[in-house]
Amino acid sequence: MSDMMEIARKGFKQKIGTYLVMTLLVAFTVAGYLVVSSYWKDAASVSTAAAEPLNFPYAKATVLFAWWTNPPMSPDEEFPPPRKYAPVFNDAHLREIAGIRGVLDLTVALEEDAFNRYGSASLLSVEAGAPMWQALDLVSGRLPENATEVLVPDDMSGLGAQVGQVMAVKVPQTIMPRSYRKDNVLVDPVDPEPLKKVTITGVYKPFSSMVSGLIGYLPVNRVDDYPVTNPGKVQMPWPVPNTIFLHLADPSKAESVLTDWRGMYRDYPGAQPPLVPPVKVEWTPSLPEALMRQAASDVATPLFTNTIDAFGLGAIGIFASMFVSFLDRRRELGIMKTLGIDNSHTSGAVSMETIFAGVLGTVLGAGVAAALTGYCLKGVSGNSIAIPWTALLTGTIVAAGILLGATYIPRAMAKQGTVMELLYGRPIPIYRQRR
Amino acid sequence: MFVALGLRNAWRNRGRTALGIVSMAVASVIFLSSSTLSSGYPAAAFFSTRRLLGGDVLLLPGKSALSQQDLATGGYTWAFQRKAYDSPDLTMGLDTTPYSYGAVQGTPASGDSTVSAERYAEVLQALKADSSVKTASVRQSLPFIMAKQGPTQTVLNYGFLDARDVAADLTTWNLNEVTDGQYLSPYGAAMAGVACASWAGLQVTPGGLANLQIPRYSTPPGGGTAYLDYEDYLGVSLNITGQASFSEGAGKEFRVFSDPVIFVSQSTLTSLAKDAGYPEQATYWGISVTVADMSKLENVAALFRREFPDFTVVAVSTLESAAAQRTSISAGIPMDMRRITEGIAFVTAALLSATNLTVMMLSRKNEIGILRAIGATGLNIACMVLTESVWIALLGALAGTIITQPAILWQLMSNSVSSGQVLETVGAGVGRALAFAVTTAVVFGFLPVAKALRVTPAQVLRGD
Repeated sequence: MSDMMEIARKGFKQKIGTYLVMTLLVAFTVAGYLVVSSYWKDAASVSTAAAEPLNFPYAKATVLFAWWTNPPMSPDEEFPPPRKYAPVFNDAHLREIAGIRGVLDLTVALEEDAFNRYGSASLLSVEAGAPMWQALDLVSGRLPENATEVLVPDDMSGLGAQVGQVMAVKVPQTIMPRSYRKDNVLVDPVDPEPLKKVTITGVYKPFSSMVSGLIGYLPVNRVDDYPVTNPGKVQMPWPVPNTIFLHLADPSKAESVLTDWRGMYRDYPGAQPPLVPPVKVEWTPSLPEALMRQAASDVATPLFTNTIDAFGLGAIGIFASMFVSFLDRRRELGIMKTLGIDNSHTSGAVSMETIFAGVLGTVLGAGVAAALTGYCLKGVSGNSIAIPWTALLTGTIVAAGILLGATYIPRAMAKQGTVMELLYGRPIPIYRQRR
Repeated sequence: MFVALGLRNAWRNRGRTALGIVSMAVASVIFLSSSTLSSGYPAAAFFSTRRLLGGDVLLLPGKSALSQQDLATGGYTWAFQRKAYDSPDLTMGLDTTPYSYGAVQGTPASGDSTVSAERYAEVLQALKADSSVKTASVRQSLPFIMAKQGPTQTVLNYGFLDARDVAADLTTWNLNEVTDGQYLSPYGAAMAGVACASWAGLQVTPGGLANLQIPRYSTPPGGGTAYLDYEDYLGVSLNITGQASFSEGAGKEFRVFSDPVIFVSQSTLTSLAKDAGYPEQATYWGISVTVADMSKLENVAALFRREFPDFTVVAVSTLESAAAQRTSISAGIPMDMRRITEGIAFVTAALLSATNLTVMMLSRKNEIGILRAIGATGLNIACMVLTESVWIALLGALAGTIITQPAILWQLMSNSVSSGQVLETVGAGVGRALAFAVTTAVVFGFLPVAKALRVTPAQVLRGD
């Protein structure tokens, strides 16, 4: 090992020009990656910071009223259980959902798009006795006690809405986007009263834009079972809820709560058709930040593509300089082998030189990036940019990978080449089948 | 003589020469595609979408999509807003993973994201004065609710009346071709409309009547924010003369509007808006632009993004891609990024070519040594090597140019660009590609030259 290191040290010194080029190429790509990565992380954090929080400690989901339950079908079963739909709005199932870790309580509701004399606003009918009623900040009046009563938000009150006023509410058919993963078999329940006359019983102050329209009353409606196996005939008597709110103990864990919920509807092997979970659309408390992060990522992607191109360029440059260096010192390597140094040590010496150059280049690149981001560049936030350790680790790993890949052929040829091939300039295979 | 020697060497090592030519050809293809093809599209591109929208580029008021400039300059707060039905917004509802019934909207630090009527007029004037713009117009709409009697109950559907430039629809977009029944006519009856087939809730048989409830524009008694009163509405019976369908690709029904629409003439909408008490600017939903040359669409949209930062500029390509792939609208690829890609492509090709030549120089040590021994100077050797390098680069650039020219010519000529402009664009592109290729070949050619010049006659004679 020490001999190999000594040979490598001398080789490095002898070909200082070549390895300087290689070092600079590694430094260039590592510095470029770190600067770009750190800049866009700063920009993404600014964009995320610029997102107004929802202030909504709930996970909200639009759900269907039934889900297709397909029990596992064993090949031994002569009479497998029939495929059928199971109700979502069933006390037992709702208790299961409310029992998911991280959920404080559950509220069932029916949300509809609605139009009234003060513009368009959603009509959210919350189930009687649901925990969400306690979360509402009632400014005046009282809570609704039947389906003909509503609360209005305080900004509607500013437009002239008053407690005791009767107003018309129009509920149109909801238009689904084509991407909505809908169970085409279930019949969409339609509100039998699209034209409603409601009385304003109170005014509330919305705590989030997620609950900021009309709030109505939804009587409790539960289904024990859907015995009918023809999916086209599976129906729930009106009013059919379509929304579930899960009050979260930790809003930052909303995604894991929703994952646990979706995981309750497993697709059994061999199930036909695939299970369609009832959960369709989800809103999490961090939705604005998530959307901004995605938008910033969409903007940054072309820049990263060019960073990857630059890595490719660096790899080609490293390969070129390493290959030429190998060709230059074929005779030297041939003489080493003549003296008895084995193949592994010969290629090891070449590898050591590469490692020297790679480590030096990575350290230099990181140093240049730190200097640039610390003293020369300002991020979108107006402050100096900090290089995250994850970017440094990724840059180092990528640089190592590039070095390994780019120097594979010269190392392989140094290892495979026989004395005669190295000394007399004969073609050297990269891979040689040993007999 | 040494130039001829360089060319002969290139011919003798045909394999390595071909490798260099191929890499330079690829770089030229990337360069020409990036500089010309990605700037725009052939004239017929996205025709169905443009026909549905009635334009090539839309300027939507406010900030619906984050752009590079927004990230760089900041100054906006982004709030998640639920879908609102009082005014149409093409971008809301296109974000489908998951379908979020809303989107983030940017509000400037001043707190007011509304665009005034004066600003609309100012932008419209600037657009009309721009030579890259063929037509520009402010788009207007009115919301409605339509009541239809179903088998067991009344069914309500919402939608928007969208005012169209009927003359352009008939001449530029040929909407008559895709309309079952009769499209709007510039001289036709006033209360006429054309429904869109993609919206199941607005299905009215051509010749039938659509009974619409247009909310009245109201303001609170003591002043304040205006609102739309859906209770005190203007009842209108619109004669649906036809139903337009828009399909893309293999007959797939297509819609870009995320909100349902009925097309009406400008005069019809203006009259209804007046009757329902709307000030003119309350009906504005954006500005649509038809570009003079589709081959420059992306460049034009990128310029508009910089010029009008208070608008979200969306090219039809972005809108169709978002609708077809069910993704959200992104801000488009910044033009600067393409320059970097072009540069990297050429540098990569030149580096490969230089490596190739360096390897060849190493194998020709004897030849070079002998040439030096018989009196060739360093300049002569450099001339020989650079000739080979430049020759490979020229051939590669020409090959790349030939490969991309059919697509470029199709894109330009389909847009009815004048022959002078075609020659100018093609000539400039080819010239730049050749110049880039030769420059990088000369610069990187010094690598093999340096290698060749290190060979001494004594080394060759010793057999080193």
